[in-house]
Amino acid sequence: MGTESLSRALVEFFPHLLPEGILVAIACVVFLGATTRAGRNLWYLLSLGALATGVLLIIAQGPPLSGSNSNRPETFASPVLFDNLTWFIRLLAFGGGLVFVLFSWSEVPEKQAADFLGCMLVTIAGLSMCGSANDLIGLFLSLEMISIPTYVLLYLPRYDEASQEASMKYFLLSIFSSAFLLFGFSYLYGLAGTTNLSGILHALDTTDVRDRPALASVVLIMVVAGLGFKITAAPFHFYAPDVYQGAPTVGAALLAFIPKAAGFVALLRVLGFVFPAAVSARAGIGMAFGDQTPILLCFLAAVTMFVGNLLALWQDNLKRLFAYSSIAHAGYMLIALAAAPLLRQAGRNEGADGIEALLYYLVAYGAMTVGAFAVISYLSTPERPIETVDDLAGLSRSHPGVALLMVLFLFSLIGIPLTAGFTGKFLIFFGALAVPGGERATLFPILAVLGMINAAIGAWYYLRLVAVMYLRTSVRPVEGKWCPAGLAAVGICALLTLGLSLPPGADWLVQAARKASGATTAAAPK
Amino acid sequence: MSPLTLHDYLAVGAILFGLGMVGFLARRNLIIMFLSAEMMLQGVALNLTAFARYRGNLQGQAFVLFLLTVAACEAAIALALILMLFRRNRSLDVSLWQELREDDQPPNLDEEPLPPAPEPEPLPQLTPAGHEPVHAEPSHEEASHV
Amino acid sequence: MPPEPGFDLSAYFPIFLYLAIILGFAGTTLILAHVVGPRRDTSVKLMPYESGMDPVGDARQRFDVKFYLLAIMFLVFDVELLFLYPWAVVAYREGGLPAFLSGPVFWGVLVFIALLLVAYVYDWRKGVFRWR
Repeated sequence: MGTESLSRALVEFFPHLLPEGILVAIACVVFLGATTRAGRNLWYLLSLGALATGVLLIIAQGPPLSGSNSNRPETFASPVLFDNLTWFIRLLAFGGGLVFVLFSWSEVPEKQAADFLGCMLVTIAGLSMCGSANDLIGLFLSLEMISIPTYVLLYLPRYDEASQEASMKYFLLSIFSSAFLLFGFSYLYGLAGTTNLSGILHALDTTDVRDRPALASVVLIMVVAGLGFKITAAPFHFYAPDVYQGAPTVGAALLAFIPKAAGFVALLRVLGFVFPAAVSARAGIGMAFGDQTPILLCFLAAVTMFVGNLLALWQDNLKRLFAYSSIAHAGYMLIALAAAPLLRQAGRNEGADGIEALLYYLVAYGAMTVGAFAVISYLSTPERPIETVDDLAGLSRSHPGVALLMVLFLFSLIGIPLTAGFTGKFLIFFGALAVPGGERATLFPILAVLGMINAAIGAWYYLRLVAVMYLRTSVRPVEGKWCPAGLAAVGICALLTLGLSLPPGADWLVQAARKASGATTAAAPK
Repeated sequence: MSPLTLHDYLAVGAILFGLGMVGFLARRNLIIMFLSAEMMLQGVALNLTAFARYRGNLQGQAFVLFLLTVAACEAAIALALILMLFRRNRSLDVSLWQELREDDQPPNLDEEPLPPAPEPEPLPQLTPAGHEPVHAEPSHEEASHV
Repeated sequence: MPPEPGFDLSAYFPIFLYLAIILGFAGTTLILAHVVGPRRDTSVKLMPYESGMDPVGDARQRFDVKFYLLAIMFLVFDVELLFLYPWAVVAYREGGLPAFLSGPVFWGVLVFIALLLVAYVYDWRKGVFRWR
């Protein structure tokens, strides 16, 4: 490959980044607007417009035809990749961004609203870029594009002590974890001799495991540790409850969704779960770092689920409870990730697929968790904040409609049929049970059973919330406020939670996730 | 003396990274913790530069450029955050920030608190040499002449 | 032209002797003064300006937060300059950038500078540079 094709690849990638470019440009306008006296509505409408334009552009662009664009040798030079996974994550980022903008409309004080909005737009653009990164540098920068504005987002809306402590905790631990990630990246670059992800995967795939230096396992551990912080996997989860508790509600919702999605996408890309079409996956997906990867992910998944669910049982603070719940859900998603390589090796593409289940669950998890946070934010007023579980008492009388929606989100988090959470859990556990027997015949069925036990434990604390809302009365009923944008955010999340579980929506999402997982294009040749 | 090999650079990088990690975990001053984290990043930068030389391409060095920029952005945010925290507590000790924790967990009290800072010594005064002359009250006649 | 007389080190022997005596005398005087001479360190004697003015305060005092803000701004803008160096070195050299790439790269650098300008205008409008 000469410099010519490299240079052409550099020029050609610019048009692909049009939606993110629009978003960042609007973020600049909003930042400049923050210095004027104009009210928040102008900036919120502007960014809603930008996000909606982005969604329309992405839908109009459509998922790329398989193997049309990414099959050329330029893949090994281009810093961005435009494949089906990119398209999926892009849509997820911009769609989620719409919900977050609506959600934060009335949460942030007038003085900080525009600054907050600008930071949020950059975060959304970062998630979107993360899906298209085809280079270690690009991946690292897009992850930092998510982290750096988040530090600001966490303390901007509130100036109290808890919020400052939360942002400092998140900041210090986040740079600590990104140092680990970078250390892994530096060795990865040394191993492969290139920072291009396709090139790295190709280099790893064409050398035998036994010929590699011992650095490869260091890379695996460091990368999983660094990204484990972002997805709140178990030994790296400890910051989450404190930070969520101290953060403003919209900040907690952002933290629960955007870094987690970005972390999973980065895992998919770096560990070689989704191969670019130009690279042939000889060893099978997810095996680029040797076949210990699924085992490592298995243990991570089991520990994460138990830590999240068991510790959530003791929580009284709502945000801490949802923090532990989000840790537990990261555990479920890790099951899907761990099962993916062996499922794909078995070649059962028409049946269960780990990555497809993971991507489905990511969307479902986003809809239900952000929805639950949006309900809390909608009901909170400065005079009567919703902080603890008891604050929800008597909600069914004061706000019957909102209480019903909250029950929908909670049922989805439990995994009761007719919700997106059920379909996602079904896909994940069914996938883990379908892993064919082999040398590790018992591992995955055990993992699936552990997952089901955890879903049952989780039901206890979610149902406790339902019971508080419906069976108890409050001395001081919830007041709530009339905020159409917040209600719209709740409504969109509820629609997604319901709609993605029923056939047309579910089928569409499963198809999109399957395309994004690359199952049809990069089926493992046996 | 044999020339430095790749392994020497990697060893120094790893040592920097390890020292930073230990510093981050062991220190309690906010600024020192942040500087330790930056030291971990510098270890990574050294790794990348050494690998770039070893592999004979510039991608590693380009990575270092971006790494330094991100580190500078983080430093700017760190300075702002640290200033904000200092204004509230008048101290940079992280153990003073324990509001967020599990309900049933007692705050982590310091068994050996730092000794109070010593009072600054009084500044010396010069002994005046000689005596200041007594100024005579200016009389009315003299004032009128001026 | 007569040949250069050969360099004879022994001709410089008196100079070396002289040098040794000077150094020895200076050293001895200093050491003797230090050992024999009486020392009474009073706080006034140890002042930075012994016969000048009274000191007004500790040097390690707090500075105005405005310096701090400027330092933060400087930190970021200074490092951003890092990206202009590779471009400046490579762009217009023989055999540097391919011809069809120089246009896009130039516009890319302009966009980068425009982004810096946005940051500058933001700081300015927020009143960071206002020295009240």
